[in-house]
Amino acid sequence: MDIFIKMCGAVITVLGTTIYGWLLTRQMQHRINRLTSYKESLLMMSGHIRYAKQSMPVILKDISENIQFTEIKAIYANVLLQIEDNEGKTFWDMWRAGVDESFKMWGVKDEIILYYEAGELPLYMDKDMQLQFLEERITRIDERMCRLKNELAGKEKVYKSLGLASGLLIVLVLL
Amino acid sequence: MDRFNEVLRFLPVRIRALVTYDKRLMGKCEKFKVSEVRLRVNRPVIFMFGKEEYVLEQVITDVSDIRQSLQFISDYSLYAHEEDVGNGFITLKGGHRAGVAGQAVTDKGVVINQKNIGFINIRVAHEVKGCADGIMSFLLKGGKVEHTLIVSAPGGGKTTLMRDVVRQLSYGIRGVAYKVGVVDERSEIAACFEGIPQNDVGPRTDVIDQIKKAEGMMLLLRSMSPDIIAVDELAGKEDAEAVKNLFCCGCTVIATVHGGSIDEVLQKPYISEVIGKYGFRRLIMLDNEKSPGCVKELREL
Repeated sequence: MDIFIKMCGAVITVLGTTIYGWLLTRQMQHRINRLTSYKESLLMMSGHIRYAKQSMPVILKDISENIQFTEIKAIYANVLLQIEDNEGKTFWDMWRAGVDESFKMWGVKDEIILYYEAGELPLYMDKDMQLQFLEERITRIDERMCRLKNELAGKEKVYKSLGLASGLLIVLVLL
Repeated sequence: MDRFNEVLRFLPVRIRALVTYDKRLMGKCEKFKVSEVRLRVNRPVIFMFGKEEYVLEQVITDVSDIRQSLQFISDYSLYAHEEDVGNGFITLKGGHRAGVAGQAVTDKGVVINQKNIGFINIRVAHEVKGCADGIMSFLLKGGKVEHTLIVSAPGGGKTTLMRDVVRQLSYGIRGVAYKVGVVDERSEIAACFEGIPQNDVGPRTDVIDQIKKAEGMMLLLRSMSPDIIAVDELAGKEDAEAVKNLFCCGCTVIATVHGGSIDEVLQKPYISEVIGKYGFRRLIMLDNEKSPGCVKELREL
């Protein structure tokens, strides 16, 4: 009975650390996917402004209906709701609140700034300024994604094998 | 009161709150129709009830109020209204209009935009359904609608009258309904907001919005095959040429023009060329002195 409990404990420990390693990889992959979706949404916004000069509520509605990634979808839906509430908040305040509301987990501080930045859109200026602003943000997202992908390639195996190895080490020490 | 509430949402939050606390003003709004709300930087807010004004002496508009109001008026998208601002007005949800004035931005002498906007005039939309009841039979001859020109001085109710004419023809008159095409250069007739007419212009009406009149008339003719084309404020050679083209295409034209009297319009260059046997045969002069849309003279040519 004693050895059975020990075996169970060892399996759980190894499994736990392995899953933790795997989760770290998943988390990184999730961040990349989220950034990809965010970039896609900004490209959509840019298209709406460039070709149809649509107003912000129309753009927000369209993106919130068409983007697949839940967290990104939620930002747009949230900002749209706040605009409809018509409480006199600035676009920056509404956007920031939308990002905070949508990103309750897996947020990396300096990465969240990338998401906040879209709220600085100079909406009182002309179309060209909006497009230029969006272009700059998209370039920064691309840079960030590139960095994350390189990181992921290097760390994926390390996270997974270290997860397993640390599990085994804990088991050995405890046994 | 509903219209008033619609307009309130375009005012800055601070002013909105102060307005709703003013019991005298609210009482007035319940009894009379607000026609305009005027915001001027560093000046008190003024509500207009027709020609009568109500000054909110204690409510002084500041620059941030103007900015916030512009945010609401443009739906946080001033970039999307660049041309509208250049033209001096933005059409709002509900068919209302916001006139804006500031410092003109010009390119080769043409106003393309405005900056430092400090004056906003929100004009409340008032459709007057049925105001054309008295003239509908005058427009018809043997079951066919005649080319008609509505004449009045500015503010005489030409557009209001034409909107109702369009609505009635579109719904059908004496059992016959017509396909009507509206060329709405300044979004005054149908008041389209995001492509949706905010005024009732009838079920068989197609609207082309914010396009030069001459261009819009030809485009509608080609694309929507209307029985009638309605166009506001004819002026100049280009418009007259386009109307002449329509006369030759079997399409009836209903238009408005600025003028102090019918005789004055008959002297107008270009416009006088489209009035007569092969042009506008029904002329309607509105009375500026009485209520808007009130007919002063009907002339058949």
